[in-house]
Formats: sequence, structure tokens, C-alpha cells
Amino acid sequence: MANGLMGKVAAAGVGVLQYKRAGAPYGERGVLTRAIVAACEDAGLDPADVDGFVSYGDDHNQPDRLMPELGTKELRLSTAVWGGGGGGLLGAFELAAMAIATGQCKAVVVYRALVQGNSGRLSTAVMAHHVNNHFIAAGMMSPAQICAMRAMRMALQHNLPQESIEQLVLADYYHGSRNPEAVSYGQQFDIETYRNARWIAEPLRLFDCSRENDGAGAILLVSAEHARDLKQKPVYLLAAAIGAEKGWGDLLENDDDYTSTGFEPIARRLWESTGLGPKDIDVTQLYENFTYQGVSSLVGHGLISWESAVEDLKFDNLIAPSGKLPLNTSGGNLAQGFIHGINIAIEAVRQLRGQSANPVPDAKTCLVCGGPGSPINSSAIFANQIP
Amino acid sequence: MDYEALRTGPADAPYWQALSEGRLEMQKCQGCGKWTWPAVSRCGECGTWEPEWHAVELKGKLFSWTRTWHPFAGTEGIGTPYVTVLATLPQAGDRRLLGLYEGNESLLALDLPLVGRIATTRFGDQDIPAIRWLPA
Ligand SMILES: [Zn+2]
Repeated sequence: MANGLMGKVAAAGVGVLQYKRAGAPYGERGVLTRAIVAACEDAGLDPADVDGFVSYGDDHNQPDRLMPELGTKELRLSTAVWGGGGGGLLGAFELAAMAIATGQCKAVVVYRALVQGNSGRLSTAVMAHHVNNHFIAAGMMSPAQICAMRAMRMALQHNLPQESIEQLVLADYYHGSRNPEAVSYGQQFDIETYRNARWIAEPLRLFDCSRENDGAGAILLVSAEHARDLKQKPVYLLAAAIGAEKGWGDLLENDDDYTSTGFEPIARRLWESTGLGPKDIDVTQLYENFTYQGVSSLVGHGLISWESAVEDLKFDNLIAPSGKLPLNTSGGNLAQGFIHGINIAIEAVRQLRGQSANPVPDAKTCLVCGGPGSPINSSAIFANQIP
Repeated sequence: MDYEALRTGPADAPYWQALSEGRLEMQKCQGCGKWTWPAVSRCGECGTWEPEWHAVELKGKLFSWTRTWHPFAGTEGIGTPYVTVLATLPQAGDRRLLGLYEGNESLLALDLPLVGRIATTRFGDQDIPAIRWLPA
């Protein structure tokens, strides 16, 4: 199994700007430029020296248009991952790392910007890929409804109780309440508010759904060697994988394992290429577009099983610093904010640097999963030392 | 049916044509016997081009369901709340089809036997051929 990326590339800088939806004080490109410059300043690298750009999820900001403001000397990689959802998130890191590891690029930024006034609602953009008359004829118009249909099957087939889902929500909001950068910072989350929130599509209520913010996030990747000369403690990329296997994809709800979120082949590749396994993961950043999908992605990576879900999904087990399965230590998509998932990758870097608002003691590895239930999904393992 | 036009359109054009004429037709590969859904122009299992279309009875079993409460844009013609079911079709290799549900909602449960009828769903200013499922 190829392990050509293992520890060759590191995240050297992160930058993020986040605002309330429709609350960005600059246009989308202005927010993004600031996030990229912030990531470069964090690393101590001149933005003009960034020679590669990778995004995902239909970001609208073509790298060539960023060049004048960044002072880019030479653009060598300008690409995005196919697919409209957050499933491309860690695939973008894989591409960036491949370019650096092969010497095609020296410094690559992975980014995502989302300002509603410029790019419209995210769900509309995601659905443009997926929705067709087969869905519309059945009243299925949005990612929330498709994920609800799948969530209902998870609940019924695996006897997954609502109480277990709540534990994930509580953990997200607990972490978010302690994170000054989170939309839920300082707020006491009331479980009754969650339970009584309006239905979107059963079994999903309002707070089971991530709601996008305006903002932009950027992560600067360089070679591991280069990163050791920069300002921050390097956070190495051990492996990243994107894809789908036969029986999964854009199949009009005919996926072989309907309660999966498509991560099984991705996780297999992560373990095979690193020699690590689920027990070696110290902290996890889950892309929970919808709560049930977050739980299924834990199953897909072997961190829990459907049989053990009720036992494993306990608030005390899911929070830093004491839980055995700490996740979404920034608050996650639900409670920190949602710029199409880029936030959770940034939290992985901060957590492994020891800069998280909710540090996990001695955390060495962090799993990040992107896009549960998308036709194409991706995950990555980051680490602060190479095992 | 204008087969010439259907061959040059999207692979699922015959499905929509049949549905608009009041029949359910699905695609089964004449090479390997696999029901191919979503429709394809080539069977990925055996390489046969243009799998054939076969009439299928509107009989299924409930695989999953959701009741939509949020008034998503475009669904005004349906009116919330409404239930969508995903049904498996035993006569078509357990391939699954979506449809609005118009039966007693207290009966919704896995494997509930369903029968379908063909109707249209209003979306914006369009009427799209559609399946309605109800308890058998
Ligand atoms: Zn065949």
C-alpha cells in the first residue's frame, strides 16, 4: 500500500475569519484573501511565495484572481476537488500534499470561502449537483431531506436512540461554549431547546442541521522539512484519502449500505497507509452536516460500531480533556461555525499544536472526516510527530 | 414511444416516458440479468450496451421514510408536512424508488408492504410524473 505521503508534508499556518451569515464586512474574495494572509503570517511565510491553491465544494474563488492581492510570484497548482459537498475537504489536502511531496509545489494553501451575498446558500449549491426529477417528484429538495431519509433508516435498522444523538450535540455545544471563536461561545446550551426545536425533516430537528456562516478558512501546507524552519510547531499530514467504492455514490438512494456514510474504503486506506488503527486516534474532528451522519462516520472509521453506539456516545466520553473519544473540540460544525467544514481541519491543526480551546492532553493524532454521506467522501490523519 | 429520441437522451429517458404514459418501467441487463438503477447506457457488470427496459408492477416494501416539515423552496405545490418514502421493489431486484406517501402515517414502519399509483408532482410551474405509495 502506498504510503508516499506519510509525514512528508505539514500544516505550517492557519487562518480563519468567521462572521454571522450575511454578516461579512468584505466581499468573499476580501474575506478569503485575509484568511490566506493570516495563515501565511501564522507560519511566517510571505504570501507571495504560495505557489499552489486547492479548494473543494464549489468554491467560487479561482486562484488566478487571488494573485494580484497576494502578490503571487508563480502559480503552479490551481485546482479543486469534484463534487459539491464537504466530501472534498480532505481530498483537497491529499492533492496539496501530493503536489508538495512530488516537488511540483513548495507552498500550497487549502481554502474555502463562503459569503452568502456573493455565493448564495450552500444547500442550494450542494443540491444543484444531486437533485433531479427523481428527487423532486418525491418532494426531496435539499441535503437535509436526503440525510433525514438516511438517518431514519439508521435509527430504525440499528435501534439508534435519539438520546445517543443528543450526546454528540451536547459535546459540540460544550466545546463551542468554551471556544472564544465559536458562534456558541459563552452560551449555556439548553437540551430542551434542542428537543423542542422545529422539525426540518424527521428525524432531524433544527439543531441537528449545521447552518452556514459567512467566512473563510485557509491552511498553509509545506514540506515537513520546510515546516520545521517556520514559526509554528509542524502538524504533519500522515495520510489523506478521498473516493468511493462500488455500490456507493450518486445512486438515487440505491447505495448498498444505506446507513453508511461512504467512509469504509477511505478509512481502510488511511489505516493501511499509516499502519495506524482506530485505537491510535487521540481526537477526532467530525464533519457533522447532520447529527446522524456524524455518528455514521464514526462507525465508518471503526471508532465505534452500531452495536456499541449507545455505550460509546456518552457526553462524558466525547469531551476534552477526560473523554476517551473526544470529538469536535472547537464545537464542530454545529456549535463552532460552518464554513463548509474548513473549520474542523483548522481545529485539528490547533489541537495538535496545543492551541485548542479544549485541549486533549498529550494528543498526538487527529482524525478529520469530511462530508458524511456525500457521493464522494474524504478523511485525513494529522499528527504532531511522525510515528 | 419515440425510441430513437429516447436512445439519444439521458439514460433514464425511457423511465420518464413510461411514467408519463402511466407505466413503471425499469432497466434490466439482458447480458447478466442485473437490474441496473440508476439507469445506465452500459452495464458496468458485464459490459452490455443499452440494457433493456421492462414493465414492473408498482409493488414495494418500505425501506425508509421522512416527514418534511420545513417548506423548502419548490415544494409549495405539495404543502407541508408531507411524507416521502423510499421503497424497495422486489420485482426489480430490490432496487429502490422514492415517492410521496399518501396512506395512514401511523403505519409507517420498515418493510411495510406498499402499492403505488402514478400521479404528478407540482414543482414550480411544472408537473413531474411521480409515484405515490400507499399501504398494500
Ligand atoms: Zn450486465
